[in-house]
Amino acid sequence: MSKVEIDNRLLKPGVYFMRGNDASVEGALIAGCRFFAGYPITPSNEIATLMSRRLPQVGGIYMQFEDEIGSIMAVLGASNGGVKSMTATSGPGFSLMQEAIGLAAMTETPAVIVEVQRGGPSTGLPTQVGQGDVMQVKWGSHGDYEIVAYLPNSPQEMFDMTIKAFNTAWRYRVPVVVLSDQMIGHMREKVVVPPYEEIEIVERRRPEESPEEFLPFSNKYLIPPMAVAGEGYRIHVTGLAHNEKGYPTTDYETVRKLVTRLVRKIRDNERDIAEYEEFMADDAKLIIVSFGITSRSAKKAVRDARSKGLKVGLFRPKTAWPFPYWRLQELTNNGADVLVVEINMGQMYRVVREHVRSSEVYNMPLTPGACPSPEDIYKKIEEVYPR
Amino acid sequence: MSELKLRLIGAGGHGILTLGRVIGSAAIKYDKECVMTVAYSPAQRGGWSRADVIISDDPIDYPIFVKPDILVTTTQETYDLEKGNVPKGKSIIYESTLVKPVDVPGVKQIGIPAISKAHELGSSVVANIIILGFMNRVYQIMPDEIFLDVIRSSIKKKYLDLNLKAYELGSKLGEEALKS
Repeated sequence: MSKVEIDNRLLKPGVYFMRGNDASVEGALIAGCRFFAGYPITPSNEIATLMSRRLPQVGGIYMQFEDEIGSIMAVLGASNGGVKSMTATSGPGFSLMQEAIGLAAMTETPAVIVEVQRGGPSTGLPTQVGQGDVMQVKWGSHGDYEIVAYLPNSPQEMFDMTIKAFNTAWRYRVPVVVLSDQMIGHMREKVVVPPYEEIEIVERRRPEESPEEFLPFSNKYLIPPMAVAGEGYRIHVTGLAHNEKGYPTTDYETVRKLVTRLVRKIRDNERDIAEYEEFMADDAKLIIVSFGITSRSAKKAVRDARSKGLKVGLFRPKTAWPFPYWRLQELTNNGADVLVVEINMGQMYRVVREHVRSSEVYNMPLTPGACPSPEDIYKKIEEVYPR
Repeated sequence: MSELKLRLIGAGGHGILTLGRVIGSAAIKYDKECVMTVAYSPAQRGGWSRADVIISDDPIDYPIFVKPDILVTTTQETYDLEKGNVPKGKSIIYESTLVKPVDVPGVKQIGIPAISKAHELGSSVVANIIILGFMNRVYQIMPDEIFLDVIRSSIKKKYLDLNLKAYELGSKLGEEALKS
């Protein structure tokens, strides 16, 4: 753990009334981000706009590219060059980035992508809310890899989770997504910037070997230390399956070790990475699973249900991937039913069904464009509540 | 005050979002919870913009509401659009140089000629701050000093004096409205 670099151009500790997207920018800068490449897209634009002003102030570089493909490739290049880097986008841009996200996973290049979801599919609803990219985050690129995605539900969490995303990306050498949504991104709320000494910052682990002994993708480690291009270590980076030196190979055993490691470095650490919030879930007969903006509506619905004597609770995954299934299993072992509320046609619902076998799992599928009100969710609670 | 829902709506350029930000920043300073959501009409120019602000003593779960406790509206279009959402016993503050009010049963309506008063002060851009001073005098949302602090720390020096005068004028107009 290292410290926040003391720099009076960073946002000072204090209390602010801040937009979610802006909070993400200030969090990124405090985490050490000094490069941003992006292409304009609603509803993530405020991130690029503020970055273009703030990065030069802290000695960083902002670049607008010809499209999202160029943007994410520049972010990966900067990361290999030793700079903490990120981009921000929404659904259509995120689709364009998928191939490069696979490249980041294969080359173990840390990067942060803030994805502010809007309604889809395709260009869909640029200015309105959606939560339809839960599965795309996990399975968007081809082949086997593991990725991490955070699910903020407030401007405060846009700040906190952007810092966490950098830490996780640089600790595990993976691309990490902050999967927000239009309403959280555009909402203003209280954001507390804690004293810098309370903020954990993770830097890349540098090689300890001499340049002669160094293997950039050594299987000696689950997460190999990462050299910076240009500092004397021989580095070869390719999307092709590669050996420990980074050179292309088709040797079955070598590829097996590589792909296994890419997956294991997240799966073996899923309980350290995954986060969740519980609200009145311990004695609940019905547990609502919800995230992002819908989880706030669901929380109100839970309070309303409790005030009418219904034992309803909330389980809010703060990471979509890894999904904290083990805790949900513990909460449902006593037979509690589950209701999944999300602004899509049943994406996290499938994940919950995969892990909750002992009780009923209900779905509240919603098309994009609006967040369900607490009353909408309460109606569904009354419909499925076990009696 | 346990929870107060404010809807601010007017034409682009009326300083609606700035007004929302000032109120929100003040609420945070005053140790309240506050959330603000915004919406725009789908027009590139000449449309309306809206800021919905909830101020509460407790954490706010859900930031969206339909029925405000106080509606502030600065154009006829937005007055017509929103007046029906104000419940009985709640209030409307309208900009009286642009809005011709109609009877809304059970709803208290107060007009303030904020834009013409702002012109007299020197710039129409401070109409929003006149409304703020007015609203706070009439409804006493927070101590004036909290709002003035936010204005002092967030407005450029060049315009600070104008904004402080605007707040004071709004407050005076509010005082008069209370008397009448």
